[in-house]
Parts: sequence; structure tokens; C-alpha cells
Amino acid sequence: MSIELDQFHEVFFAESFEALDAMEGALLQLSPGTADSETINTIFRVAHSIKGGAGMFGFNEIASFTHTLETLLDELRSGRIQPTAQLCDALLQSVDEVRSMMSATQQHQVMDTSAADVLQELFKQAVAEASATDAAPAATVAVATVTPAIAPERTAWRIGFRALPELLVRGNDPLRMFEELAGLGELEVHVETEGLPDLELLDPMQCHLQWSAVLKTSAPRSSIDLIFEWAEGDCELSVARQEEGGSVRAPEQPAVSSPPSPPVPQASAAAPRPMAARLPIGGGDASSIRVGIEKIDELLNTVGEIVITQSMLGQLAAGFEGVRADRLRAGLTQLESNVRELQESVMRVRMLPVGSVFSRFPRLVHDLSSRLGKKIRLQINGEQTEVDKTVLEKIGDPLVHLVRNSIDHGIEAPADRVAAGKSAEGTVRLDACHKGGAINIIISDDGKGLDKAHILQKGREKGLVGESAVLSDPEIYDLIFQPGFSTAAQATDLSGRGVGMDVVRRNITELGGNVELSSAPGAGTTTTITLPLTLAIVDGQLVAVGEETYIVPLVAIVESLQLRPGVASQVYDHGEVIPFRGEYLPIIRLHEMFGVEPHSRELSEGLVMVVEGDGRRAGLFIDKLLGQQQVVIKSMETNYTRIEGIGGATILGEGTVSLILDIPGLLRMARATTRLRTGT
Amino acid sequence: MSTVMLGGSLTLREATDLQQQLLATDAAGGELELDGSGVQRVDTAGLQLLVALARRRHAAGHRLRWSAVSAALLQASARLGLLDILGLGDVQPKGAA
Repeated sequence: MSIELDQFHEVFFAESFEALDAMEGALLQLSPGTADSETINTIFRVAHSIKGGAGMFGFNEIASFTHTLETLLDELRSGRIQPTAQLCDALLQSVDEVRSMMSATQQHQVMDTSAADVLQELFKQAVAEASATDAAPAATVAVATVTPAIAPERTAWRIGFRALPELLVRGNDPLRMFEELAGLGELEVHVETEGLPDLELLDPMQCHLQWSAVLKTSAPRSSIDLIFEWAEGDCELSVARQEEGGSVRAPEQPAVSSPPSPPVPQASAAAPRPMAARLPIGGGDASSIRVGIEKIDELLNTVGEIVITQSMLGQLAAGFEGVRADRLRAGLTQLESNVRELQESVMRVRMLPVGSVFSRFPRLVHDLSSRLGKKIRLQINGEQTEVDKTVLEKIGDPLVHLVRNSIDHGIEAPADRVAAGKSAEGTVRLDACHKGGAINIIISDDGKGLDKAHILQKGREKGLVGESAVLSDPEIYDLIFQPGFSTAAQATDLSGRGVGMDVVRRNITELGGNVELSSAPGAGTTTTITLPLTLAIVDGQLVAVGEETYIVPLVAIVESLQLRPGVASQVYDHGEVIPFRGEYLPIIRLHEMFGVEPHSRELSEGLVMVVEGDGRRAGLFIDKLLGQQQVVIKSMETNYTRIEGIGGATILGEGTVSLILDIPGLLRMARATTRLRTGT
Repeated sequence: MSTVMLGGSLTLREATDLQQQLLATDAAGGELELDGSGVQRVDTAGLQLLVALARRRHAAGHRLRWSAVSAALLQASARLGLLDILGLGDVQPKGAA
């Protein structure tokens, strides 16, 4: 029988990637010259756990690399090596290397260890140098003091260990743990075979033996905990300091003699309180579980169906009469509020703190600022703000782009900053906060700000602006988001290939959000991204066109107008327009766009709803407004096919399918048809 | 008396096979001697099966005898406090290191 280890591999990878993130975070706090023991311990623990796991699963390259890393970190921990800037950078690189080695292993690809080999050599050399300088004085001290000085510091620990059924098949071997324990000092082990079934009956995949041990060591408690770290959750473990007073009590029986002997005293002393002395490792995670995202989506989907069914029932019950109908309605109202709560709870499960995206920035800023020779401080606020997982996943790249832009184009070189009367160190801020039903993410810097004249000139060169056109500030900043626009005097490898900002805006618009820029010369630039909290539901306005009902997302609606006859006029090149607050809005007749027979074709007989998308406005001509409602979005792509101008669909209370309009898409579509029709 | 040769690897991977092998050995009855000189890899799962065999032999009034034991097997047994149970308390290593 072979054991299916793959599923444990996945757990190992997932946990290791998380641990590497933590290690990276800790490394960034490690400033040259100061060896903060807490930070170094965190880093050490990560390297140690990954080494253990990789060794267990036979990922030898990773195990070997992390072993060297661990040796170096041990020297750092003991203070024999000081963290220099060079070393910190090398350690950061090693995080990348371990990451890529793990990705390669995970995807069964051939790994390139050339960079890792270089680092490994560097680490070995550093360790060798440290021990060389250390050896001479240490040797004499050791001879003189080893027995008296170290012996009193030795603590005796009683360790009780009982395996839970899954221990062995998860790749944890008590033998290996006891070997490591023995490496810490003097170890006495006593086995208890009481629980061992007969050879014929026992399950060879489970560990039925129990142990109690006494370890005399000068190593700290944490070293013992580390050994059992990977077995956490699969064993009952007790670690307790042997009672003070008197010498360390040697076990009465040095070894258990005959197999069915009663447990030795140490075993019974340690066994009754295994939980009380449980390892503190992973204590914070104990109250959370890992759940596949598809399970949550399934749940969300089902809840969406319930919401629809519930509103269908509600409409049905509205027509009933009599005492029992009242009770039915009361019950349905109760149901509605419960379902609403259920829906919100499920949504919350999908929400993650935005900090998981922000956490990649300290490294980015660190790397870029040293590459560009700029001094930059990164300030992060509101990382606890929660947002839907899908939104979170898609916002990462646009944010990276914006932060890179701030560092590359915004923050000036230290000398320029000082000359401008600012501190040499620039600041890039990342803020997140909830605002209404949306999340705001704000990227700001205190750099030189946007050069309006330069942008305008560039816009004219690229033919984005007419030679004589006068633009307002927001309109000038808006040019940056136009495809093919780049202001970098020379393109660097960081940003400025001109493929950036339009992609940033498109990504954000696709998420139903928008992005705005503001800037003050010499004081910096602020980019504000507004995103919906979730992509699963939308607040919608139901509108009627003929017999059809469409849903317009509330965020897109500016206002609705009832027009007097004769207000609209035909303009060459733009089709039908109406005046609205000093500008002219093109009219989009929904019935024409979707080929529906309307109740009225006269603008004055229906309504014009002013909508905004992608920074452009237009008037949607509709028959009438119906109610407002929160609707569950069903994807068109998954259920049917993508349709321009339609963002999704939903099922209304009476059971009919209603299409949710994608306003920016609709505006693009309308512009295209107008151009076709007017022949420009 | 029959001598049973143990495989080179007594680990979780081989545990089910080892269990069957040991059961068959035991069923043969009579005096029994194990040859562990070829054991290079051993883990808790493997040792546990040997302990179970020892207990079964003991209950039947027999002892577990060893013709030879590798250093790897001896060291692992000592580490888990199993020397006496396995009757390895006074055995010198021989064979595979």
C-alpha cells in the first residue's frame, strides 16, 4: 500500500507560502545593525518549518537550501553575525528563491537552482567566517567553563507524547521528533505499549504507542516546541518543566522491561494534563478553518436562489386574503429578514481584509527605492478593511502599477527633494476605508505632482486633444488614462511603457469601480479607487421599456428627467441630444438598442434617465421607473454568453429574467452606432 | 528454528506488507529468529509492528531472538525506548550501517 501524499503536499505548500510571506514581512523589519531577537526568531521558525516539511516530503533542494539558511539564521540569532544591509537583501532574495523552488515543485517543473546555489555559497561563507573569528576565544572559554557554567542552566523537561490517528499518514514520524529532541541534550525515553493492539488487529497506518520522556537541555522551551510544530493537531503533547527542588529525578526504571508492564510514573504524571500544556504554536489560527472558495460560492448561489424564491412567495402571498393570509405574510416577512441575514453572513465569509494585498508593498517599495536610489517610507492604513475576495484578487495588479508610478514618477530623488524644501525621505501612503456600500483605496505620495502642461502637450502630440481645446484640470488628468499615453520622458523598466494607466482604469471599471486622480504641483498626487464591496449583488433601479424590465445599477444613475416636448435636438455627428446643466447629453433609446417595442417613442411621453459611466454621461430613454431592489447577479458568461451592454442577469420576484445593464459598455456601444449611422 | 530476514526498509510505506510478513512468520510457530542486519531505513510504523510481534510472541511464551541487527535498527529502537521490549538490550550492531 502506498500512501497518497499529494493532499498533504498541498497543505504544506499553502502553509509554506503563507509562512514565507510572514518571513518576508519580518525581514523587512530587520534593519541593519540591530538584531531584534523576536524578528529573527520569526524568520528562523519559518526556515525551520519549511526545512522540516520539505525534508519529510523528500523535496531535497528546498530542504538543503533552507538548511543552509537556517544555519545562518541561527548565527544571527546568537548574535555571532550581525545583519548587514547586504545580508538582509540576500535573505530577501532567499525568500524569493524558496518561493520559486516551491512553485516549481508544486507544478512539477524543473527548478533552476543557480541563484539559490549562489546564495547558499554566500550563506555558508558568512557562517564559516563567523565561526572562524569565533573559534579561538570560544575554545579557551569552553574548556574552562563548560561544565560548571552550562550544567546549572540545564532544565529538565517532561514530555508526554501520544499520537492521534492521522499522525503517521501526515508524514510525521515520532522517531524523527525524538531524534531531534535527543539533539538538544540528554534524553530518556519511555514507551508505553498499553494501547498497542495485537499484531493481527492493529492498523499499521496508526501509531498506537505512547511515550514519556525527560529531556535535560540548555535549549529554550521554544526549541522543543519547534520540533513538534508540524505534528501540531495530530498529537497530544505535554511539555512541562520538571518540578523544582531537588535534583532532576531520574526515572526509577531506566527502561520498561516486559511488554505489558504498567506505565511508568512519569507517563501517568504527564498524561493527565496534555491539553493544559498544549503547544502555543498556531494558537491564533486554531479558531479558523480553510474552506475551498467553490464551496462558499455554491453556498452563496443557493442563498441567492432562496432570496428569489422568497420574493416570489412574497408576491404570491400579496394577493391572498383572510386571517390566515395575514399569518402567512407575517411568516414571510420573518423569512425575508432571516434570508437577508443569511445572505449577508455568506457574503462576509467571502470578505477578506485588504491587508493581504497591501502586504506585498513593503517589499516592492524596498526593492524599488534601493534600485532608484530614492528614500521612501511606506505608510499603510486601514489594512483591516474587508472586501470581496474576487475584488481583492483583481485589484492587486492595478495597485502595484499605481504604487510603482508614485515611486518612479512621483517621488523625487533625495537631492531634488531637499532642494524643494522637503525632507529627503518621500512618503507613499496606502489607505483603505469603507464608504457607503463601497471601499475606497487611496494611493498618495508627497512627490512632485503631475505636470499639467507636460501632460497637455503630450496629449496634443498624440492627437488626444485638439490644438485649441481648453481643458479643465480633471480633464487633463484624465488624459493619463487614455490608451497609449505615457508621460515618462524616458521609459524605465518599472513603468512608463505607456501600457499602464488605461489598463489600470479598465481593470477597475470591469470591477464596477472607478478611479480618480488629483494632484498639486510640488505637493504630490493622490489616486482614489472606489470599488464595490462585492460583485455578487447590486442595488438596482428597475425600469420598464415596453414589456421588458431592465435593471440599472444605482451607482450609475445621476437623475431622471421628464422632458417637455421639443427639448431634444439632432446634432450632426452626435445624433439626438438634450441640454443638461450646461452640457449636451446624447440620448440612448433603449428600445432601439435592444430591439424592443416601446410604449412610447416620444421623449416627452417617457422618461430620460441620466447615467454616468467611464466619466461620460448620457440620457437613457425609457418608458417608466419601477421599484428599486437589491438583486443577485447571475453571470451572462456562465449561463449564456457575453452580450455587449449587459452586465448580467437576475431573476425577479415573479420569476421573469431581467437583464442588468452595463452602463459603460452601453455608452461605448451607443457611440459606435451613432458613428455608424452618421457615417463618421 | 527458522530465521526470518527483514527487508531493507521497515517504514510506513511497507507497513501493511510487513504486518502480513510478520503474521505469517508468527503463524509458522516454534522458535523464531529475526535477521535485521539488512535494515537500513526504519520508522515508528515499522518499529511498532516489531513491538506488536514481540508482545504476541511473549504472550505465547516465546522470546524474540535476533541473529543480527543493523546499527540503524538498533539506534532507532533505542531512541524510542524500545530496546528491552524488542529484546535488543544487549545486542551489538552488525550489517548495514
